[in-house]
Amino acid sequence: MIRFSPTGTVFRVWRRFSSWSANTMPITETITDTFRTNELDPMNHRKDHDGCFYSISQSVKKQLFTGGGLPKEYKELSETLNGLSIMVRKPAIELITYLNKTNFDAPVTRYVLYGKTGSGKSISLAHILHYGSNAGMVLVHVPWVPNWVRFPKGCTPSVIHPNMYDHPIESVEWLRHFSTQNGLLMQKLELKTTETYTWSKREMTAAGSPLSELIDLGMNRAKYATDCVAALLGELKKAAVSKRCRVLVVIDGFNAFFSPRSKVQREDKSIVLPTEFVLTDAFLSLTRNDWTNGAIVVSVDASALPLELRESPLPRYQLGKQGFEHLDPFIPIEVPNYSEKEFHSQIDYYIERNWLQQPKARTDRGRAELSFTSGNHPLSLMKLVAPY
Amino acid sequence: MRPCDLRGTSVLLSVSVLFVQRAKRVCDDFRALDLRPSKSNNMRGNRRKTAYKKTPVHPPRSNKMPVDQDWPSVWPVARVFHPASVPLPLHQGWVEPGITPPGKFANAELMKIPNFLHLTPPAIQRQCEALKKFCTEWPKELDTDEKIDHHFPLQITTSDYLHSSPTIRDARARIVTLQVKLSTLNLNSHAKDKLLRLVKERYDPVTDILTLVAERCPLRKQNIDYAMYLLNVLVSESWKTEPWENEKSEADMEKYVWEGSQSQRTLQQLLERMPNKAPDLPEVIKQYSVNVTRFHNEGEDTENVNAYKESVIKLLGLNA
Repeated sequence: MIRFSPTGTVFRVWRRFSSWSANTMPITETITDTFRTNELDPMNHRKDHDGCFYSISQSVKKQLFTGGGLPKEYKELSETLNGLSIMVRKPAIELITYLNKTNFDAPVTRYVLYGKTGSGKSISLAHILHYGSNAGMVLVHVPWVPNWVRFPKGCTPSVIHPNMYDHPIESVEWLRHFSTQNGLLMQKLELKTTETYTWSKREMTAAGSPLSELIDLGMNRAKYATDCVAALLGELKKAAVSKRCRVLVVIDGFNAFFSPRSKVQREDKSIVLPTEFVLTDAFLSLTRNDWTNGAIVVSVDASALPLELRESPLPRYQLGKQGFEHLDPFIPIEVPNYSEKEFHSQIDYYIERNWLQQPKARTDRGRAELSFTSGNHPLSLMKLVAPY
Repeated sequence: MRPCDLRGTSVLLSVSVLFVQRAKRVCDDFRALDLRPSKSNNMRGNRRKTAYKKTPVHPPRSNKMPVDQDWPSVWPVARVFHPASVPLPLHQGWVEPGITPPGKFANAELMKIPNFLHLTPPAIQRQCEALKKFCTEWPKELDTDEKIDHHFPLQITTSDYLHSSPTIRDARARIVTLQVKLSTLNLNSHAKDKLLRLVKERYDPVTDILTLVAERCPLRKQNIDYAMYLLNVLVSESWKTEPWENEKSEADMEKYVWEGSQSQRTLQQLLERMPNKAPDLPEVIKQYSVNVTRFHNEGEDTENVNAYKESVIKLLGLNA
């Protein structure tokens, strides 16, 4: 018996430096064109579109996501792959079914998307945003709440509310985001203010003036922008109750409002709580169910909280007691990892866009390996197949 | 006279005595004067060598023991291991295979461990026989543990200490342990809650047993009385409702109770404004309350979240 055969070693080395083994394995490419759907209107998305991609036109993308709403990596990827496509997934379909079924005379229903970081909550919210836009709803969209809590560009004590803090720059940005998302719709709706807002001795917004005036004032006068946001949200609520418009509130990273601390410090270095922001107050008042003719979709994510509070992705833990009591009763909707169908559809999409060029990845074995390595986790898969 | 001078005279004296003795011997057989005496003649050296006789080591007693001896009388009470009294080839500890185990002699390990050589089955049997005449018959009716617990809910445990010492008293004999099952006290929820707060760690929730240990009085009788007094006071205090107890808020609750909670208030406000309510509303509300309570009390898991979701969907009428 030959124990140490030199031929084996030689053979192994030779195989490593040659493409012989790759050539012998037959590559069966399993790309189908069934991963796309021609149904481009999210209002018609049903269960049979599950796992299919639909593309969003450039104009819609510009209208909805200019001021944020897509995660940075996803947005960059969509630009690289020359077109924004979103997979129709179960949570979004479920949400659309609920929204289609909703009785809008009843108090607004709160939906909470939850799931691990990178499982696609923000993309599902983008899908819902598109739905709301197509359904003719006024969109109140906060792209990522932790931006206000964790990295505020300038937080100043509020003039009007004592012991509260304003976000002048963020508020201007948000008002711009609101007007890009709803500009055309607001012109059509012609909503008017119901009360007079006095900003200073000379500046005031009279009752009965269009809401666009309020938005313009906020965008031009950063000092009053935060209060303009609060006033605008109050006006939208009233307009929704009086059935002049239908409002869809979409907030990503909602649990950051209940975070135990923020990066803002007072002069004596004590930390300002997120509940002491005027913006928090305004958006929490909007997410109460004391109004009708609207819907509220929020997402909770571990990455919106400080590092020590990221143990569980489940909603009660993420919201905390205060947040849970604020939203209760809400409908929790889980955003899970990819199912098998969704996973194959995603791989097909990457292959079709020539983003996944490795020939072995196209085989069933390669797919199985990718599925195992990424654990069907969307963000991990995205990072795994990226050539950089 | 100073002491050093005294010593000087005594030396002189002894030298003169020596000289007289030697002169005597010279007279007998005319022997030569030896100024350096040999070692055997040295008086001081001889004196130092005291007569020392080694005691003989007897062979171990165990060699002579008959096989049918009465072991309990050889080893009647607990004592440290003695190799010569035990006719067994004992050793202690793990021995590597293939290596001869150490013998029982000069083996300190065997002395460190407690042994039960005094508690052989015949010894126990003999002691039981001796005690039997002091015992009364067990009541026939108390044939199960349940009956015993029912008729005798209180259990008092004391310990007696017997050892050979100048006194028969032992301070530890005064300690009294009183145990009672909490369910036998028939408390309502308020009284039970209050009692548990008063007794703190003395209650074991697994076995439902309350344990009171009394040891502050010098006598056992006093301690038994004190333990009974404590139990009485605890129970009667638990049944009282003080005026400040109404101030108990949600944060003070040891469990989440849905009735009177924020969740119930928001639900009522919601239901007032709902245009068309679910047909089986009371049942749906009950299910919802159960799920919210589970959420808070049992901790959150996927199952709980899904149950909560189902109940909210029914509540809001989205399941149609």
